Amino acid sequence: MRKGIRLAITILVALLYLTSNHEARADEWEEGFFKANQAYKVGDFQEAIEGYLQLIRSGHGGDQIYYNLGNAYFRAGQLGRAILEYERAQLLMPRDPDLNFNLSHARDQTLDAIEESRGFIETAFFWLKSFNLNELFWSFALLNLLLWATLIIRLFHKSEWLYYILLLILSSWFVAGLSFGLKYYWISSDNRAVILQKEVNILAGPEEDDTVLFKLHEGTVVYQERSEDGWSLVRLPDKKRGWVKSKAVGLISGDRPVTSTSPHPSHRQPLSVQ
Amino acid sequence: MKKMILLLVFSIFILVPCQTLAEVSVTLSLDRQEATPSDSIRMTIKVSGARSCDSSPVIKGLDSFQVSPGGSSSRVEIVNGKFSSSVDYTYYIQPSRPGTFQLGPAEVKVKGKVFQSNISTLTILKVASSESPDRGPIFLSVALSSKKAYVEEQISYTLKLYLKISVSDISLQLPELDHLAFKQLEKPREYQGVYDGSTYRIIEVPYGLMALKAGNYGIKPSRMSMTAYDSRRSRRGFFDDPFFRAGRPVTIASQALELRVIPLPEKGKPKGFSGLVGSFKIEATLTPSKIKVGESATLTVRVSGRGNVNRIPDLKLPSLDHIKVYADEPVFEVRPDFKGLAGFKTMKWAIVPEQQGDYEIPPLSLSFFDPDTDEYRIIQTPKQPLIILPGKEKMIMVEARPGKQNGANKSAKQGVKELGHDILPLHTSVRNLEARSSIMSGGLFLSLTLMLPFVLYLSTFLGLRLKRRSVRAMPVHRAKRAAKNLARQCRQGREDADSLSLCIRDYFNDRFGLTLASLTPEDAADVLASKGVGPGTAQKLRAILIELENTVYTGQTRTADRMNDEIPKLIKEIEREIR
Repeated sequence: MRKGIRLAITILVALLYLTSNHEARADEWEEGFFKANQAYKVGDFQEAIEGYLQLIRSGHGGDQIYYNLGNAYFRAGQLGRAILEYERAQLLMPRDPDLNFNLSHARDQTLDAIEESRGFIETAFFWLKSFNLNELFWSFALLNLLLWATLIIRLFHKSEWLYYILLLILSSWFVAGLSFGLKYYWISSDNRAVILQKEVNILAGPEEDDTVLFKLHEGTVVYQERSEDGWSLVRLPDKKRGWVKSKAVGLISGDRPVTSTSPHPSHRQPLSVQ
Repeated sequence: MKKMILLLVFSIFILVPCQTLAEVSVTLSLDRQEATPSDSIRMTIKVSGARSCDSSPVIKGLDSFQVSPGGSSSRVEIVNGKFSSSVDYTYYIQPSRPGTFQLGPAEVKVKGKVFQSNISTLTILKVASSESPDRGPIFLSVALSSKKAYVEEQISYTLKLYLKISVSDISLQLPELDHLAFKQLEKPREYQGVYDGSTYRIIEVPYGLMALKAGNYGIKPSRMSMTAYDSRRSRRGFFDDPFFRAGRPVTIASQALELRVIPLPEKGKPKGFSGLVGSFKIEATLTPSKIKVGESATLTVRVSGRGNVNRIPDLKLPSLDHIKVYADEPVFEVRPDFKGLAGFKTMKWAIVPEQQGDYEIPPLSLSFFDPDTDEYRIIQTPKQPLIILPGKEKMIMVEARPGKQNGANKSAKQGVKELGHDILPLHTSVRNLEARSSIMSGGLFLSLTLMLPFVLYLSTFLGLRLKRRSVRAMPVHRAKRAAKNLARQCRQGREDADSLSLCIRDYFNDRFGLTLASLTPEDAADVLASKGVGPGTAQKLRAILIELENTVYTGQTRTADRMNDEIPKLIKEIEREIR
C-alpha cells in the first residue's frame, strides 16, 4: 500500500515538473516574440529580425513568425528576403489577407518582369493554392473516416440512400485524396528560390569568368534545378537558364538548408510545412 | 423525299403567278454624286417586283448629258421561301457642262401601269486647271474641296488615279505635314471616265483633311507606287491576267496644293466653346413625361452632325430640386462618308422625382462654329415638361454603375483612389506561435489516422464473415458429433426407456439436420432407408424403437438396461451404411 502511494506521488511530481517546464518554455517563447514585435515597432528592424530568427531556430516555425519576419526584412530594405519569408508564410497560411496584400506589394517592388506560368494541373486544381497541406490532410482524413464508417454501416444495413451517400463520400474522398497527394508532391518537389541580392549575374557556367547570360534582381522568383560547389543552376519560367552563386538565392520550401547572406548569420532550421 | 419535291413544284407553281401581283417599285441610283465633265457616270434604274417591263424607262433630267445604254438584266430569287424579281437597266451618262443636276424621275410601264422612281442629285465640278492635256497612260490627280479653311474645319482631299493600262499592288504615300491630319473616309471606288477625249479607268480615294493650327500650308504631292503592265502586248484571253505577265514598278506623284488655314474668330465666341466646327443639330426626348413619385423617366439628348465630331462634348444636366438624376454612359459613333466625318453622341439620364408636382427639365445647349456662315451658333434642346403624380413612398433603386456617371449628380459614388502604398502591420497573436506537427515528415500518428478506419472496417468485415461461416458449419458439426453423443449417453447408463427414445430422436435430428419433435418407428425406418441404410439395419432400429415404446407404456425397466448396449452397436452399423 505504501509502495503504491509512493509511486503515485512520484508520477504526480514528474508530471507537474514537465508541465511547469513546458509552460516556462512557452512563456519564454512568447516573451521573445513580444520583444521582437516591440523592436519592430520602435524601428529596430535588425533586432526584430534577430528575434524572429531566434524563435525559428528554437523550433517555432509558426506562420505568424514568417509573416512578421517578412515585414521586418521589408522594413530593413531587404526585399528579396522579405519575399522569401512571405512565400514561406504563404505555404502555411495561404488565405491570410494581410500576407497576400504584403506579398503582392513586395512583388510590385521587384524590377524583373517575369510572368508566372500555370500548368494544366495548376489550372484544374485551382483550389490547391488556397489550402495548406495540413488542411488538405485533415479534410482527407475526415472523409476517409466517413467513407469507412459508411462501409461499416453498409455491412449491417443496406439501403438505397446509403448507397448514394457512399457514392458522394467516395467521390469527395477521391478528390480530397488527389488534392492532398498533389499538394504533398508540389511541396516536396518545390524548387522555387528567391534572388536575395540587389543584382546578380546569371552565368553560362559555375565559374566566375563564365559568360554573363543575363542579370536578375532582388526578389525575383526562379527555379533551382541543382546546386554544386556553391553554385546553383536556376531556370526562369521562360526557360532561360544559368548559374548563380548559391548564397545569392534562397529556397522557399523543402528541407534544403538555406544559405544566409544577411549581416546576422542565421542557422536556419529546415522549414516545417503544414 | 417525294413529298418534298411535290411541295417544291407546287410552291413554284403557286408563287410564279403571285409575283405578278407583287408591289412594283422603281429606284434610280448613280455610282457617285460628284463628277467632272470628263467623267462617265453609271446610272442604274432598278425595277423591283417585275420580271419585265412593257418598254424601256423614260428618264427625265438628262438634257445636259450624253447617254449610252449599258444593257439590262433581270433577276429572280427565292430566299427563305420568299419570291422576288427585278430588272436592272444600266446607262452611262457623260455631262456636257458643270453644274448641279436633278436626274429623274424615271418612268417605267409594267403591265400597262406607269411607275415612277426617285430623283437623284448629281454635281458636276469644273475641271481643275492644273490638269494638263497630255498626262500619259497613268497619272495621279488630287483636289481639295476648298483652298481656304478654318482651324479644325474638315475639308475633302480626293485622290484620283487615272489608268489606261493594267496595274496591280497599288500603295499610297500621303504627304506628311505638321498640324495637318488626313483620315480616309471611304474605301476606294472605281469607275470609267473621260479625260481629254480619252477613256480612263479611274480609282478615286476620298480623304478628310483637317488643320489643327492656322497658317499657310504647302501640301506636298501624294505618291502612288504600283506595278504597271505593258498595254502593247496582244491580249491572250485568260492569260492576259496580270498574274501571268511581267510588270514594271511605277511611282507617280500628284500635283502639290496650297491651303490657307485661318483661326476661328474671337468675336462672338461663346463661353465654354468646345472647339466644335461643322454643322450640328441637337434633339431631346423625355419618356414618359408623366410619372409617379419614385418612378423614373429617361431624358435622351442626341447631338449629331458633320465636322470634327470627336469634339462633341458630354453635356451636363444641372442638379434639380426634388429630382435625382443618374447619368448613363454616353454613346458616341463616327460614320465617315464621302463628304467627310459625320457622327453622333447620345446621352441619357434617368430622372427620379422625390416629390409630386409639375417640373421642367431645363434646356441643354451646345455651341459650334459653322464655317458655311462664318459665325458661331448655339443650339439647345427645348424645355421638357415633367408631371409627377403622387406615388408609393418607397423609392425605386436606379442602377448606376460606379465610375461611369457624368458628374451631374453630386451624390453619385466615386471610385476609391489609392493615395499610397505600404505593407500591412505585424501579427501579434501568439495563437500559432508554436510550429505545428509536420505532415511532410510523415509519422506513425498520421499513418494511423488514415489506417485506423480501414482496420476497423476490416475487423468488422472479418468478424461477420467468421460468424456466418460458423453458423453454416453448425449442422455438419452436429452431424459428426451425433453418434458420439448418443454412445456417450448410452454409456452413462440410461435406465429410462423414454430418455433413450429421446436420445435416438436427438441423434436423428443432429445426424440428418431434422427438427422432429417425436420419432415414430416407421419414421425412423423411412429416414434411414432414404439415407441409404440397408433394410435389415433399419428394421432393427424400428424393432428397438417399438420395444422402447412398449416399455414406456408397460412400465418395464430391464429393457432399457439391455438397450444401452445394443443401441450403440446398431448406430455404428447405421453410420457405416449411410451414404
